[in-house]
Amino acid sequence: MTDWEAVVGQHAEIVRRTVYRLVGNDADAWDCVQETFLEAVRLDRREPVRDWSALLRHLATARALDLLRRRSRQRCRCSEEADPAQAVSREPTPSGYAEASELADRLRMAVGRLPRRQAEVFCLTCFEQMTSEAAAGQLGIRPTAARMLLSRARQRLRRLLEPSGAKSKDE
Amino acid sequence: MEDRNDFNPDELLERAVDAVFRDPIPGELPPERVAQLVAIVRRAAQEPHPVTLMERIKNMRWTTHIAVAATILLALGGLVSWYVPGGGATVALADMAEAITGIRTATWKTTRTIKGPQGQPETITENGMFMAPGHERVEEQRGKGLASIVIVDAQKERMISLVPAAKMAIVADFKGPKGQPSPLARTFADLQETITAAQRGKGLTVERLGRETIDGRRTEVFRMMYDNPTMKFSMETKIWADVKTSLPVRVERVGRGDPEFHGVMTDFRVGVDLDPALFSVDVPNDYHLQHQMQLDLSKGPFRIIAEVFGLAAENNGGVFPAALHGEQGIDGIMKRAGEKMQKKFEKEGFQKLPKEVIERLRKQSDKAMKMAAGIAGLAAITHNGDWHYAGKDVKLGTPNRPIFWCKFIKSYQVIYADLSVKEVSPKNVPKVPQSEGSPQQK
Repeated sequence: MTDWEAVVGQHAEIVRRTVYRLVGNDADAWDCVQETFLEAVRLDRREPVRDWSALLRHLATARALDLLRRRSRQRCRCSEEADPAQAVSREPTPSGYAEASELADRLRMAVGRLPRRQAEVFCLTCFEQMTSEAAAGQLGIRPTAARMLLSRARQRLRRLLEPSGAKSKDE
Repeated sequence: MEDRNDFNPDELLERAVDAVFRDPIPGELPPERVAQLVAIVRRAAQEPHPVTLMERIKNMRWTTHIAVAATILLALGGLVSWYVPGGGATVALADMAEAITGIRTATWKTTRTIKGPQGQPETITENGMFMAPGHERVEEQRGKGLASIVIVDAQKERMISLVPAAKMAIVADFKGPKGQPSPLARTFADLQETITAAQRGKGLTVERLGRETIDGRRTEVFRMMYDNPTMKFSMETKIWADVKTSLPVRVERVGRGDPEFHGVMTDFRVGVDLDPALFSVDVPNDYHLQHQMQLDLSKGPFRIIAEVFGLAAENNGGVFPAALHGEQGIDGIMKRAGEKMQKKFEKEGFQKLPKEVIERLRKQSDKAMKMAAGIAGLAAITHNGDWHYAGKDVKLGTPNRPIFWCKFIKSYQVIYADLSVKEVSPKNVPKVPQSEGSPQQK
């Protein structure tokens, strides 16, 4: 019998941080946190979970990506985007913080436009700092497949983040 | 500024990843949210286990396996399923917000419970209709006939109430602040706004209560709570959302405090064909206009609130009450004044009265409407707002004496003892001793 109080107590904060990093606001993050644990309940019924941390981070990433994809479909294609050439400074000036925040939002939106598997591998390796082997284990794929998906994700993201006029088509 | 020709996509992606890491994540999950999450997860874990196709196959004898596998291959068109519906799909609050705000037309039934004249509970049934943007029509049923029809046009900022039995119409023109939801009562639009606010985490706490089946439809149940302890009022909205469409199947709203109410919305139908003429706010040709009211809240509710303060002072021997809240505060005094007015209406009624009495009652009903609007405005503003009250023992009519000030958008609105209202900048807020204020007062 799973001790849900212990599981939630130990992992809720890390789940929240995982989703918040992707969705960027508290209300959506809270929604994703709940969905993550509900999905964990369903999976726990099928077979015992050995690594709660890895599983919950995977589920949290997947739920956050679902939301990013919905947002991406909703947003107007004509919305103004910052010229990436403006977001060049690493100095912590006030405008630098605003540009960095905007760049972060653009990356979130771009991740929402990736094919599902590419997005999952990218988030698990780049944001959750998993190795490609660990990410592959979570996704049930071979490490070589994970590395290929990551490479394709990065290529596509580079194109999506390019300045206006040089954007590639979505798939 | 770097030349666009020097743009390096690899570097930009790395900077973007770094920017996501540097984006601050506020605070941490408060203990009450963790407790809420534990409760949600425990409830879900206790739900009946939906048996999946794979589980049934795993538990079969090997001979049956082969027969089953063959059947499955034949049935790959999707016609055979031993999967018990209910697992897999969840309703996200965001999904529900998206689904409900996208509705163009809808109809529903509402059953409300109110207190009758002798305090006995009475049940009222209403048929509601909605057409975007901002049109609603609610028909109240009594027996076989219609008791009243209320039509709201939020864009024209007008509401018309029709009494078919008397061919009577009452028109109310409300002007609200720009960019804010209309102050007119609109059941469906209010539901949309509640769900959207909950999804954005604004002013409401949300809890998932698990799954229920209603009329054969699997639903996810949410509870949204609005709590204003200052005004001793709370509203609970429970929504049963269809797991397939994310649309409401049932909505229950319970108001506790003042006012108390209980209503249940069911039989939702969306995308129905509705005649725009149903939402006309013009007085029908065969009706007479009994009364027309106007309320201007475009600059916020402060002028109305000032009138409420004045009424409170009049009912308190000509001085402003000691506090905003409490039995001897403004809201306590106004509540008793409102009850007195209500009893007067019930005693004198509205039919078969001399014209001058009807005219007096009409003015009082305008006054009552303004009082209600002012009290509602005060409740909204003092709920988690930056406000200060300094009216204790101040005489009504004293010039240049601030008694209440409150942050509104980017400046402060100040009400004076002579009931004038002025807008001041944050650096010019009054410096008189305060008897009561929000947590933000210095």
